[in-house]
Amino acid sequence: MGQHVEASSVPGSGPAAAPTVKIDGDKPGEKGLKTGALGFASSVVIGVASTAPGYSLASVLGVVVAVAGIGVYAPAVLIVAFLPMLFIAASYYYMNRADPDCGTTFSWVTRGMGPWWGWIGGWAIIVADIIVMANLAQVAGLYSFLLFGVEDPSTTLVTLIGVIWIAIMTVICVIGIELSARTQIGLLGAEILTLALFAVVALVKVYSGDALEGALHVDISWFNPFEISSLKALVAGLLLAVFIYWGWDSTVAVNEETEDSSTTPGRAALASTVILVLIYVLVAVAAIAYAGPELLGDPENADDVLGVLAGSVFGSETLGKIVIIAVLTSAAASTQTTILPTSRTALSMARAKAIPEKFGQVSPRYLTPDVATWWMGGLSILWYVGLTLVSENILYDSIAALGLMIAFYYGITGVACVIYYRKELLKSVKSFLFIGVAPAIGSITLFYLLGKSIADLTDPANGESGDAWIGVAPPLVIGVGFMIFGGFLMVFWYLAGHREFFQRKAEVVDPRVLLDAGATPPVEHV
Amino acid sequence: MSAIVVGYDGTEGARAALEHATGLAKQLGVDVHIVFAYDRVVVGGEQGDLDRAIAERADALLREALAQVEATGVHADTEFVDEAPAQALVSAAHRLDAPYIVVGSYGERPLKGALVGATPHKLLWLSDRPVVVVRVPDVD
Repeated sequence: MGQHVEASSVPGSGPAAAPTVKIDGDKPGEKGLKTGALGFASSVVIGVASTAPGYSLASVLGVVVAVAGIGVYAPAVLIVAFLPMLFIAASYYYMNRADPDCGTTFSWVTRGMGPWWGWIGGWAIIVADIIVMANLAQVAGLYSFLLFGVEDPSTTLVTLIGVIWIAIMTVICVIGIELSARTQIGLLGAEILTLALFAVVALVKVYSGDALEGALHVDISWFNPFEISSLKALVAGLLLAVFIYWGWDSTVAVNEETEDSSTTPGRAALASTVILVLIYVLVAVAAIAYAGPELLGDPENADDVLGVLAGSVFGSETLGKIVIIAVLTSAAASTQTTILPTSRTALSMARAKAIPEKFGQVSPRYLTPDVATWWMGGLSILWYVGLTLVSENILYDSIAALGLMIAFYYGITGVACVIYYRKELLKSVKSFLFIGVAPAIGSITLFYLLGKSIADLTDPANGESGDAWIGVAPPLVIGVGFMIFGGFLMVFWYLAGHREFFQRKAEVVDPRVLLDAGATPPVEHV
Repeated sequence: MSAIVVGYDGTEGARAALEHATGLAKQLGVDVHIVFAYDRVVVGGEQGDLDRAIAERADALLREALAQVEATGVHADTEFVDEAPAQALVSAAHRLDAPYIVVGSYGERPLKGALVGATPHKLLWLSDRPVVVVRVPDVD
C-alpha cells in the first residue's frame, strides 16, 4: 500500500488498486445507520446525548450554586456559559469540513498552527477526558447507591463502584458495542422527559406552597448575569459551567454521516442547542426555587443534588428513582462519548507519529482502537483512585480542572481555525463572520476565562473546598500540572529521535473546502 | 456468474469460512465474493483516522484473501462495505444471486455476541438464502 487514502473516499473506497471495492450506499429499504443515512433526529439525539444533560446537571448544578456570589443567579451563568461554546462550535464545523479527522483539535491545530501546538492540543483532550472520568465515576458510583436507597455510602464503596463503572465502559468501547439510534432516542427521550417532569412538578409545588423550607418564587433577576456581585464569582461559575455544554460539538462533527451534510448538521446543532439550554435553565430554576440556594449549595448535597431532591419533589422514593435512573443512563452515554473520542485522538496522534505507534493499533477482531482504549481506561482508574485519596471535594476539583482544560483546547481550536482559514476570511461576509469573528470571540472569551481563573485559583480561598495544594487551589495544580507534564513528554518524544511529526509545517486551507457545501475536498494525509 | 458470498475480517473463523466457501464454489462452479463489512460507531465525533486505519486493514486482508482463493483456480472478487455485517452480506447475496452465504461461527466474540447478537444469528433472521456457519476447527 503506502499511497494516500483520501479523506473524502473513506471508508467506502480503499486504495484504488483494491479490486471491486465500492461504497454500498443508498439502496432503499435498508436498516441501520451508515454513511449518508444519519437523519436530522439522530443528529440531534447524538448531539444532546453526547452532552449528557442529566449527568451534567447532576454534577454541576450544586457546585455552581455553591460559588460565593452566584446562588440564585446560576441560571444566568448557565446561559452565559453557552455563548463561547456556540462561537467555538463554528470553528469545529469549519475545521471538520476541511479535515474530518478523529484527531479533532490535535489534527486541526497541527494543520493551522504547526505540530508543537497541535501536540499540546491533543494532550489537552486526552487529559480532559481522563479528568472527567473521575467525575463521571464518582457520579455514577453515588447515584448507583442512591438507586438502591443507600443514603451515605462510604467513600471506599463509592470509589469501588466508580472503578467498576469505568472498567465496564472501557470493555464496551473496546468491543465496539453501540446502542442503535432508536435505543438512544428512547433513552434520551426518557431522560429529557424525566428532567422536564421533575422541573414542572417542583415548580408547581413551589407555587402551591408544598416545596421545601427556603423555597423561593422565581425571579426574573435570576437570568441576569449582571446581578452577580463580583467578576470573580462570574468567572468561577462560567469555568464550571462550560463543562455542561462539552460534547455538544459532536453534532457538528458528525456532518460526514448526515443525510444532507450541507444543511442537516447546522439545523441539528441549532435544535440540540435549544433543547440543551432550555432543559438546563428549566431544571436549574426549578431546583433553586424548590430547595433554595443554601440547601442546593450545601457541600453535603452538592454532589448528588438531583438525587436528594428527586424523592422529595415527586413525594415518593420510588418515583424519585426515575430521576436517578435518568442520571445513570446519561452518565453511561457520557462515558462512551468520552472514551471513544479520546482513544480516537490517541490513534490519530499515533498515526501521525506524535506518540508511540502502538496507540494506533486497531483490534483485528473488534475493529476498535483497542490499545488506546485500554490505556484510557487504565489511566482513568488510576487517576480516579488517586484523586479520591487526596481530594476533599472530587466533584468540584475535577470539574474546575476540566474547565481549565476545555477552555484551553476549545480556545486553541478557535485560534487554529482563524489562522487556517486566514486567506478565505475576506472573501465573503459569511466567511468573515462565521470563520473569523465567531471563533475569535469564542477563543478570546475562553482564554480570558482561563487566565482569570488561573489567577484567581492561585489563592486557595477562591477554590470551593478552600483546600490548598502546594499553596494554591487543587484545580490549578491538576490543570497546570498535567500541561507541564505533557510538555515534558512532548520534548522527550522529540529528543528521543521522533522528528518526523515535528517537522511538519503549518498549512493553509484549500479554498475548495468552502465552494461546495456538501463536498469534502481531498486532504493530503501524512 | 453467481457467486458464494463470504464474510471475511481476517479472524480465525473468517479464514475457516473462506476456505469452506472456496471448496464449495469449486464444486458448484461458481465465483467467490469476499465481503469485509465494517459498521462504524456514530457516537463520539470524528473518526476519519480510524476509518482510514480500518480501510487499510480491510484492503490488506482482502488482497490476501483474494490471492488465496484465486490460487485454487476459483475466480473471486472483493468488497469493502460500510454497513452492519449481516445486512451487508444479505444485500451482496441478493445482488449476486448467491446460492449460499458463508460466515465463521461467532465463537471468537462470545461477549459481543451475547450482548448485541452475533452476525451468524442475525443472518438467520435476515437472509432468505441458505447460510453456512463454519466452526473454527478445534486446535489439538
